[in-house]
Amino acid sequence: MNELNNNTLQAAVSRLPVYAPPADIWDDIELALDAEAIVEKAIPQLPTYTPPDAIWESIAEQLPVTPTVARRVRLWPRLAAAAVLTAVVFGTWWLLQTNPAAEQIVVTQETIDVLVLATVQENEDDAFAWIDQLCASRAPVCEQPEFRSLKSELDELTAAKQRLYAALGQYGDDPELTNQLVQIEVTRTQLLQEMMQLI
Amino acid sequence: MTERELITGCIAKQRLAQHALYEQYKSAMYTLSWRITNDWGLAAEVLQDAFLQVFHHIGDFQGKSTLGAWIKTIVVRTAIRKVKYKAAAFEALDSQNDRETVDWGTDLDLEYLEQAIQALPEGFRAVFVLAEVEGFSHKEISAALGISEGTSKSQLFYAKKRLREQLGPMMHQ
Repeated sequence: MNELNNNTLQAAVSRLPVYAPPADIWDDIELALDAEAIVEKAIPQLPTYTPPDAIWESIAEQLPVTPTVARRVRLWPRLAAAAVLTAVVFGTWWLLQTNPAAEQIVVTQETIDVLVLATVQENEDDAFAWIDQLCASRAPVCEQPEFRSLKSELDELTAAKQRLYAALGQYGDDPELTNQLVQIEVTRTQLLQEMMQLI
Repeated sequence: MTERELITGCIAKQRLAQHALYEQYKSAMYTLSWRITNDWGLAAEVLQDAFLQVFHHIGDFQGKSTLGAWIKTIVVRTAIRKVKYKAAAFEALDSQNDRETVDWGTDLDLEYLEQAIQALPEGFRAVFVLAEVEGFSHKEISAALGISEGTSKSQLFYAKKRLREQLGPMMHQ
């Protein structure tokens, strides 16, 4: 292509106007930066959760089995261990024979101490409070329908939890109420995990 | 505040430094965003997204180009992502008209020129703005738009041809 008087185009282009953006763009940027700062600060404080044992069992099932390497086994440590075990078994039998009244079976119903449960929940409540704070700062994730649905469910469970605590105050350590409280906490924790994945 | 102080402050997430950096480049980047998107609302979105990326990645800035050029690259990529280009926007064009001549005359009216740039088809407009207004090389344009250098050159040729055609009637009004 041939171009004549390209300098005319260059001169015109260099004089094209520059436009200032609306002032509220910086406000939006600042809001987003604030929300990110909150997330950044809160993430190290989030609780960690122990996975169910079934997960490791499932992993272990899928791992290849390493063939055992044949090795020379020294006999004396095994003999020593067998001797110690025999002495312990014999000693225990002799003690029981000489004091038969000490043997008894006690059946109890295990209940969870509400105060202990409340202490455990404190850490998680920090995470829930952090999510409330995040949504108060109008973080975009809080506007997602899935997140809003989870948050709504979480709020309902939180209200139910508070009602149960009030009832526990009247009826002491009622195992039935305590168990319901535990169920609510488990569900809230699951909701929290799902919300954290969305964040 | 020097550029180095601005960068150091932004790496340390100091809000004053971030605001100062935004203030320094906001108009140039907003105008660039608008010229690529041809949409004021989209240009505002681009500016916001691009500056957030700038603040996230300012630690990666190695000083191989000016800070302004680095920010400009981020703005261009963000704008290109935002514009829903038609599939044919950046298709390579044949070069059978390579021998044509475009004459810009002795004077161009800025208002007409701005209108004519915005009236260009989106692919032509993006390449013209990057090459002629922002001074990108065809290599840089090909990297930013994900097209070949040959396509960039042919798009620029057709953009100039179309621009000149559009400016002709306007200039004679």
